[in-house]
Amino acid sequence: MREYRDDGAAKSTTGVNGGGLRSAWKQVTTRLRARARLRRQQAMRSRSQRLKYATPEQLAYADLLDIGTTIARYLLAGTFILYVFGVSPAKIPLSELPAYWSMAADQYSNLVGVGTGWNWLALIGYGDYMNFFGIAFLSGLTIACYLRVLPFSLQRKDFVSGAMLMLEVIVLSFAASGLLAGGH
Amino acid sequence: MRLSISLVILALVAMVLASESAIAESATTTASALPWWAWVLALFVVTFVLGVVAVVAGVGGGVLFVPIVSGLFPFHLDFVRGTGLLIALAGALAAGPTLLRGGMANLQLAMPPALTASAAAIVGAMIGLILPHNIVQLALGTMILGVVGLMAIARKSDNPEVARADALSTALRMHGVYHDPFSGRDIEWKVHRTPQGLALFALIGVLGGMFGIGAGWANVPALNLVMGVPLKVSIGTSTVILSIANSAAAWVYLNHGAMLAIIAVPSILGMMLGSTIGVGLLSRTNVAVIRKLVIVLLLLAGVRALLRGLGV
Repeated sequence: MREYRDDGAAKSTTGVNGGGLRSAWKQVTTRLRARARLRRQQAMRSRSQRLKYATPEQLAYADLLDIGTTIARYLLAGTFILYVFGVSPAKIPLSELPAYWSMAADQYSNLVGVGTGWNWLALIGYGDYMNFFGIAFLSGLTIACYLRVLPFSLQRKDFVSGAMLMLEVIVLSFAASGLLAGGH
Repeated sequence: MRLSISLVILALVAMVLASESAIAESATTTASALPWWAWVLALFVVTFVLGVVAVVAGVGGGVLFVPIVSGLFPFHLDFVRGTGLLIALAGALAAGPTLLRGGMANLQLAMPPALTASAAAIVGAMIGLILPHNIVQLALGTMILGVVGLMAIARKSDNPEVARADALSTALRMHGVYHDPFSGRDIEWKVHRTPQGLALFALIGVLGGMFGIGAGWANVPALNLVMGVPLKVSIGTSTVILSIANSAAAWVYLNHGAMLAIIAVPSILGMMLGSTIGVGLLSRTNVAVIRKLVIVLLLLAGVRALLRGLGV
């Protein structure tokens, strides 16, 4: 439409439209800023509400645990799908499993030739042992969460809590080390 | 709804009673009658039902899983216990963030009992994997009957009276405030009888590690009745303690090879799905009736484990 008008009219229309666009843009940005401010205030209110009943280290522990359990869930489901649908070959074929699952754990391990401790890591390419990665991740989450909150205790010079956190990390790491694999 | 859940539990009771001959038969024919996927599907269905029942009855999934699945399925007790630990661990880890953020669980309170329980759970797991199976079955049956007794007679106290915090709990900063959404009040709490409580957690850790069961049934009374922690904080903190202690025992089972993905993953998924449905049913069911049925179910499973341990 604009090309049929004279220059002045065209300029004037552009000016009006430009002004309209500018004010509309201004309104949008003002609204967006207001919304962002409201969200920030709500988040601050929520965090201060949370901090009333939970310490910052407790919140940090919870946040890391939340992320970790989500990852573990996907790992478990994903590796299990690869295993069951035969995408990854299994060390023991699924159809033969009923002959093995009524054996004691050490008898099974000896037959499969996996041994104890972290030896399963050598078989991680097999579908049945790929699942152990998700299980190990789930079991190791607490160690990561404890290491996450340790700096909080040290920062406020709470050495009693710091010592307890360190002791728990040592206990869990010892359990994870594979040095304790017993048997019947 | 109440009727349907009751029927499901009664069906489980019937399955527990009827399964002995089926398992003996399948052991001789090495499960040739059923393909692997039928067992896995049945495991998923049973753990799904157990997930629903566990939430409605207010008991942990592990304590139902180990005696019932070891009775119903041809899996070796080593793999069932390893999976039981994983189920309890996965459930506790998933619930942890919400409980911790809302102040219904207290990390500072959880740390000392968790340290005691996790060290003891390692010892328990080692003992459980070394002992002969008939002894483990016998002990499992006895313990399940103990759980039944505890569930039947244990009293709870919403906000126990703690006149004075003891020196150890003060040194370990085991105190806090929680917000009760029902009364709308902030409730301050402190702890007493800490040494006795920690000794109990050592025993609970050994039992949890040895039998692969979650120990919420014992953690809550220890925190609530012995140490004087409010009931809601006890329940929430028990979950966090469970997640830490079970991590330690799960490592021992994993490194010993006492885990099979084909048993563990469907069980975890079934239990998680069942728990989600169970939460939705919670407001529409008569919890007292379901709890009584679960006590009967555990009683039967306990007696069966005991008889199997005795070779009967």
